[in-house]
Amino acid sequence: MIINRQHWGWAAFVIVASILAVLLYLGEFHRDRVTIPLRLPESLHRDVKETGRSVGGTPLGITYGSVSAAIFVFAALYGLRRKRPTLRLGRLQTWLKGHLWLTLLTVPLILLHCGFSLGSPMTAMLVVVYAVVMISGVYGLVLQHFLPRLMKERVPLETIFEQIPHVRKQLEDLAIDLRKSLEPALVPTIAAVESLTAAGSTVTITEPATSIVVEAAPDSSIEVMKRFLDEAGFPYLSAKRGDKLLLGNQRVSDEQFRLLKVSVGADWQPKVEQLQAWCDERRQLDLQTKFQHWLHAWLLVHVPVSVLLLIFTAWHAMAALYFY
Amino acid sequence: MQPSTEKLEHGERLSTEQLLQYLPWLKEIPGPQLKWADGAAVLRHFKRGDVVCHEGEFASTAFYIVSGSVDIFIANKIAHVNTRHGIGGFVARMKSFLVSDKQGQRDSGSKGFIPIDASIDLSINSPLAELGSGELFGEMTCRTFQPRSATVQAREDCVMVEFLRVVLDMLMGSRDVDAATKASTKVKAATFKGTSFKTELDKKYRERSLNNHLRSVPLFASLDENFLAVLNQSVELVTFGKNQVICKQGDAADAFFLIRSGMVKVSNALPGGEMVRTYLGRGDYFGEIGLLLNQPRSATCTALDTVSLVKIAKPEFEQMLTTFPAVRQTLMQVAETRLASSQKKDVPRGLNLDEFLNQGLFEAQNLLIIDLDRCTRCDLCVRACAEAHDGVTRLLRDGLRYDRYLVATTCRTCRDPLCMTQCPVGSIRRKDNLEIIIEDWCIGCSKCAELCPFGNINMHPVEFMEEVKAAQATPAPTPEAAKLVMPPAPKKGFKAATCDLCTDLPVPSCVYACPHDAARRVDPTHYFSTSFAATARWQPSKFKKRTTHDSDHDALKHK
Repeated sequence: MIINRQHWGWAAFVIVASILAVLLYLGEFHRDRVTIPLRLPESLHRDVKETGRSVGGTPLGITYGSVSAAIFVFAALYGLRRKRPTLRLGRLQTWLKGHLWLTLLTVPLILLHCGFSLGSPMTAMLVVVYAVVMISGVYGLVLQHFLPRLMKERVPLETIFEQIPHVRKQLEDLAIDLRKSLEPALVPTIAAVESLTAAGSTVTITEPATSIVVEAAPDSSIEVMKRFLDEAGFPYLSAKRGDKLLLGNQRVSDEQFRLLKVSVGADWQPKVEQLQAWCDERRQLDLQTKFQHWLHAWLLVHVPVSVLLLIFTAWHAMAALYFY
Repeated sequence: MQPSTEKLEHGERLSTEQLLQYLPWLKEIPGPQLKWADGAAVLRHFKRGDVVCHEGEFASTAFYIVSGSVDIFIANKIAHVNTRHGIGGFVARMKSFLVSDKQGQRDSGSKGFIPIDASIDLSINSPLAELGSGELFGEMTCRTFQPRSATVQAREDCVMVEFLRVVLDMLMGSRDVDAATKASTKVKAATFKGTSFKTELDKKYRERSLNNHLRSVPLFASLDENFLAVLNQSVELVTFGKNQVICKQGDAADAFFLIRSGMVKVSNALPGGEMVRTYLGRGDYFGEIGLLLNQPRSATCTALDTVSLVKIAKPEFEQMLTTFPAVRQTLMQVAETRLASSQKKDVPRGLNLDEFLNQGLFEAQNLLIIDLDRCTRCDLCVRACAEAHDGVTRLLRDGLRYDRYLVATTCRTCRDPLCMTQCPVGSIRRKDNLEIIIEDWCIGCSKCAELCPFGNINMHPVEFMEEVKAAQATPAPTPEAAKLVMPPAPKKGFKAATCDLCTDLPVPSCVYACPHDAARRVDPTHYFSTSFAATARWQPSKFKKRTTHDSDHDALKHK
């Protein structure tokens, strides 16, 4: 989701709520330092120093903690809401905005709830888990701001992600067909035969004269094409991870194909260009896969740790209530 | 199903002399021309219960019943793929679900009958009728290679003549060749004036079917029998050849037309060229706007192929309106809707016009676009579409790109809806809200899917749970005939399905489900003009940059 002007309402709400929470905190726990009229009624006031309780154990601290816990639950519900996208319970867009901004609001609330201290090992662990969730979430949000645009620009041949293996297989099959067509090669034009003869090839016309079999000279275009396909083209198009190979690099690939074009006759140029187009497409598919993983891999951390956070929060709440 | 390579595969080949015995009207054809009929017809014998042709079959022949009678019916289940929402829908989506028209009324604009390729129409409630000797069926299949519109089964032992288009043209006339075909071929095509067979057919039609035809049009449902009888005698039955203009935009309105057979293209002349408004088929009508509002024709109507029309001249039309105010009221509503939809569209400004036109975006009226700068490829739009439509998505997140938008593969509600031009049973039509609707009597021939230039119509496999009950609808004349077993509906079949814009919902499911505000349904001409103009206006500014996202939002709000 891209943060733009449509989010101003949410941003304003979070800022105002945060300021309000801070003012209440100061008015409640730092009465001696600042004079703020905003405070809880006297009946609800608990002095931390006098009672020896943590901030989280006071009515205001519990309120902050409860609101944060409620936001955690809402944030988790967004995941469930996504499972049923057509349910008319508000647009998913609104849910996501709520998910983003309300969880951001929990940052000041949690800080105020714990009184800027980590507390026991259990609460310290809770804070660490919370931090991981928030950092992974913000990281995902940042990625969503520029990766789609980058993907649009760098992967113009983008296809449906699930179709990528199928398209790869198609490209591989095309390369196989091309390789087969080279042995024995059917030379399409008389001009090509002449050029091959000139280059030292032996040309035999078969009976019936529907095809011309070329026994290519070692340095002929066919031999060059074969070698290129065997050593670079086919391994790349059939590789599971093409980015590790030479043709996986755009710059190197361009250079390789430039050299290949120089090495083959004019009649082979279209074939070379076709092969280059396949390799370019394959590279884009690999790039798309990479982008897709970047776009969604952060969820592998965010979602499970969020579940953990919910469990820890519930545990913390029960323990706190028990000891309270 | 593929068109048959052998056009006349079965039956005894008829020589010209033999053919004249069965179709004596051909004697009116001059001798030199008549020889072209040699080998273009066969004699077919069918026993009681034999199926003459199946609905959805591709063919190129017509049949003339020499003796005997046949049942003509729709075997496919009269139902549509259901869309359910909420928890009930979730349970129902466990399997593909069909619902009949009785259970879920689609909309009041439905014709109320099924137009088929014969002289009669079928009732939606019991899609079965009988044709007897002297009747002709399969005319449109023969002329335009449409799939068969209905299944025909011999009710008793029958003899029929099956023939190719050349014989049909000799009988019925009007083999007009359009200018483009004339220019592209050196062979001079023959034209036939027709025979008295057509006059006889017209007479039969006037006697047997015209009143029912008029009555079956919701518009004329309120007319009383006496007036209908008067109308029956005063209307003119006219025929137009392929590409012949029936009425021209700007001409004086002098008649009202009801389509008896064939397809009519309704178009407007705009500065950029012709814009097709819609296609009308059997049972549809046109020409009412000019008569009602006393103004020149608002659109040009052209015959797509040979079209037979019932022409009601202005005086009779006006008399009808005076006598039956209810008809006027209904017509006024239709006219207003049609006028509103034919308002001139904005000419796009500030667009990459080449791409815009090449991708057919100008034809689109309602486009699903995905903003690729925002889309995280989460596929929630596709999942939502599948969830809203029985687990089968009608949207693919793939297609051509226009600027930073992906034009998703889903119905565009084109201005020129080619998908509607060759439906043999007229089951695909456009509602007033642009939605392309596929009626319950779709026979699953997939012609519309083939015709859609953007591949946006899917054939949805369905299982039929019930057998056709049509046989019980018409009591059999004899106990023997009663024993005739109707073939059960196929257990597995197809129904065409296309994006219904989720019209029963305030926002289409795909758009509703997109968490990133990337999926939008827009009128492309208006949306891109506004959006791009705003972008162009704001981008050069150094001091106050406004993102394109905001301008999109404004455009959407404006829309």
